[in-house]
Amino acid sequence: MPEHLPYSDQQPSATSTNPFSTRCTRPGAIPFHFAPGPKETQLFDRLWDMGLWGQIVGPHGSGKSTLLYMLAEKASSNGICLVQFDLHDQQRSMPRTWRESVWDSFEVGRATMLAVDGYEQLTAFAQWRLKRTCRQRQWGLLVTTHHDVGLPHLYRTLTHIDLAHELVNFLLQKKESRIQPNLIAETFRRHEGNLRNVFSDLYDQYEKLR
Amino acid sequence: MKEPTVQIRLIGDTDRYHAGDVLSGEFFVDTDDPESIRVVEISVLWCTEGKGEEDLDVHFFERIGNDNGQFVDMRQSQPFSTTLPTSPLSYDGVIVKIHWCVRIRVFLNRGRDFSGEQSFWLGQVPRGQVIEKQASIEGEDDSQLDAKPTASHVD
Repeated sequence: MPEHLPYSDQQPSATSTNPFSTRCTRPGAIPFHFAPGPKETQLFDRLWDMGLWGQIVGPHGSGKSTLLYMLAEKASSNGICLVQFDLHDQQRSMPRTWRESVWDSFEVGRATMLAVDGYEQLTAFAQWRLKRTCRQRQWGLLVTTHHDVGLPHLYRTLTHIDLAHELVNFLLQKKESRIQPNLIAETFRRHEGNLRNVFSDLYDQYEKLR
Repeated sequence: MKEPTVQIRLIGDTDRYHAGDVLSGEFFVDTDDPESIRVVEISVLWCTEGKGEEDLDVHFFERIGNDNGQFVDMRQSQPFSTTLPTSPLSYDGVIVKIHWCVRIRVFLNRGRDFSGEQSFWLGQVPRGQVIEKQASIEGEDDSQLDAKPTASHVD
């Protein structure tokens, strides 16, 4: 994304022709659908009670990043200085200037929290160092991971076929006869519940059916 | 009090333009409280749409501020104009699409904001289509068929 753009234009346009494109399915574009149990506010309260330390655990494409994004928004609106890091492609260490990024957003009198998406990709040493720094500085640390990484457990994300139908209907908005329930079910089975891959597949199928 | 909205109109009432054409238009903010508007940003921009990373760039940008002591009544029509570039042209492909639009973003007091968009088409690039696998030819070697892609995307 070009850095010189004014802030307001860093957001993609709302004009869209394929409801399964990245702009429609990225974290934040679709709301997180909670399973029975604690919802957004209770979850944020729980995170607060845990000293802003926690882990969101779940398999690929189960909504971890979406939930992280939602909680990050909630944290920001509650006056917490939040710095988010998205780790990709087997990134084994934090970005070189991550400490500067946190210091830049620091404000006296406000709690600081790091949100790390894809935390399990870090080496054990990088995880240990990050935890130690956060503990010493009294920064919060909220992460998404595929498995337990030794942080207080906040939420476990899971997918199921009803959720897939619900999200696809949300994306299609108006009644769309081309994407039938059996197509959604078959795609969900083929991708073993990975909703990110389901959306990617439906993008292609939507294009073929145009 | 009704929710404020922004109305955008492209002059000429067309949504199709050629590279080098002048895009002109106007907008106004439909609101009961014009003094609540702090800043309005006008952008003419393109963005991509697809399955992967999406890109965006601003071709034209103008800021009208009510925060410098001069009050501009945004309920009145505000014109904008820019010469369109030669690239990238609008494209409705399979893997990637390129959209052009005028975006008006209105910043209100107390940190609230909203925006409106008017999309338009730049150039005349034909739409991309999915090419399905051709029907297998009788007697063709199966191993050769296996080596062929099942479908390809034209972009």
